[in-house]
Amino acid sequence: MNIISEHGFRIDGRRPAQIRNINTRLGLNRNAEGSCYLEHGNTKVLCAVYGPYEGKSSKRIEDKCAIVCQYSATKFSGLERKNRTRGDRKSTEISRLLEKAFESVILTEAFPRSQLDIFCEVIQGDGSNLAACVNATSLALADAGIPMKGIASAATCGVVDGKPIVDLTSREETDLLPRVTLATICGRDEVILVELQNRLHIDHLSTVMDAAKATCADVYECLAVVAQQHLKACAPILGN
Amino acid sequence: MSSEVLRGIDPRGYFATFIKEGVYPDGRGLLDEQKLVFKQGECGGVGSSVVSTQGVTVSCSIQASVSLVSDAPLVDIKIEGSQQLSEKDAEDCNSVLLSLFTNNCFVRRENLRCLDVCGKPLPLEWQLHIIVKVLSLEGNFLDAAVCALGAALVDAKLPSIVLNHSEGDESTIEKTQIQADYRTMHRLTLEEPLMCCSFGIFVDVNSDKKSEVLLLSPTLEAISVCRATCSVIVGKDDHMVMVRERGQFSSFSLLKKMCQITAERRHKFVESLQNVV
Repeated sequence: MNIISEHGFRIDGRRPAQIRNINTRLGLNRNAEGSCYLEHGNTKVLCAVYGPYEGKSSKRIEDKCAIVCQYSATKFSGLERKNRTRGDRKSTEISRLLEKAFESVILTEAFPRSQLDIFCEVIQGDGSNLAACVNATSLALADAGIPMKGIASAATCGVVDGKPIVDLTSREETDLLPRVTLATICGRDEVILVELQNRLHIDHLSTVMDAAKATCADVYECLAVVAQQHLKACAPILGN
Repeated sequence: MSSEVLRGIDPRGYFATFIKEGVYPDGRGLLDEQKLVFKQGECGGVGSSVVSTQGVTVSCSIQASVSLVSDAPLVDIKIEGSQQLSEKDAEDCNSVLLSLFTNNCFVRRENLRCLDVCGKPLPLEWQLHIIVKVLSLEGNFLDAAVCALGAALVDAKLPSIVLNHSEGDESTIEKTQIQADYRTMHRLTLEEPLMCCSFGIFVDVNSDKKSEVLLLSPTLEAISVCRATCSVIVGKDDHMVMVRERGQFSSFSLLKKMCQITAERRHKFVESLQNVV
């Protein structure tokens, strides 16, 4: 089946440069410092942030805060019901990518010798799972009031016949389609995460990066509105 | 003030002084390639290599064992611990190298089928146990590890298997029915030799422009003052296979430049590998 029809529409009826609907709820988990539930189309992610607290001595860094991420997916998140073990290779890889990305966003120097735990769980995976996790984590960190350089937003983009398509679903994430997950700060040109899946020709790099950058800016607009609305809702509690 | 004192108290300022002039403190140009030296078949196993590049020397040896056909992974990689390489970094590299196998970048699964003396595939598969040892580390480990793995796989020769089990026999194959015949050896069909290059992105915060400077294969000391680091793996036909980025950078054109440099370097590596074979 073609990913883009002859009329220029994708399988789910979107245009190539159109993102899926984003729905969020912040502060769901009362035990965590910050939490976020994010729906990106049919991709549903729950994220919770704990800390900063005085963490384990083995993970402690003298002059900054150690970021520890744990990514997991529920058994029923994909098309096949899998008995996933926590810490499998794919999950560990995504956890490391999240850690590296958020080390560049959070002002870690503000919390020396401390630890910040980020837990991301994919409840339903329908493509762009890593991007959804980055977006959910950004909002959870904002909910926790962790100082950051800005809200990070991410998007996954692919290339079909030399043309970019953005915000891929699981049906579009085939083994042959090259796709890039890009995360930027505040939708600007500040890249914090680049992840490539499948082979991408160098000539297509600029096309896909430009599309991903524009999508990150679109996603950031949505996330910024959510953060502002949440701040307004919290204003009476904070006494402002 | 001596340069060593400046290096100790303000490493960023120390490096900025040299980078402004377009060189590393050792006099190498910022985008100058360092020699890649490799030797095959010196570390035992069915295939092995020692690679030295950009201040890093690693050895890679491949052990092989026979297993029945199954869905289980056929390659396992062990990066032997070193004081210079942290456990977390070793785990990261292990995961990257394994994913290159999973994505059929080095060897396809079907090419790991055991062959008989005539080259006919048998209902058995080779399992590869790869051991990577760090001999010295003054740069990025992944660059040398990817080249070492490629060179070791090119060097790998597997014996023919004599299977004393008839095709129609539905009973399980016993260990005693499998014998290796070292008189006829088969080479592994390598999908594509890969090249990995690591880059640093340096920003002089004291300068007015605050422009990003690309550094090819920075040393560990230079990495510590870089705003971002990026490792790019390029395969055949100038296709990017993997990109690993850490930190923050803003110029997208740098990424394209990194890929082009890696692709050029890969061409040279492939040529020398072909000359050796």
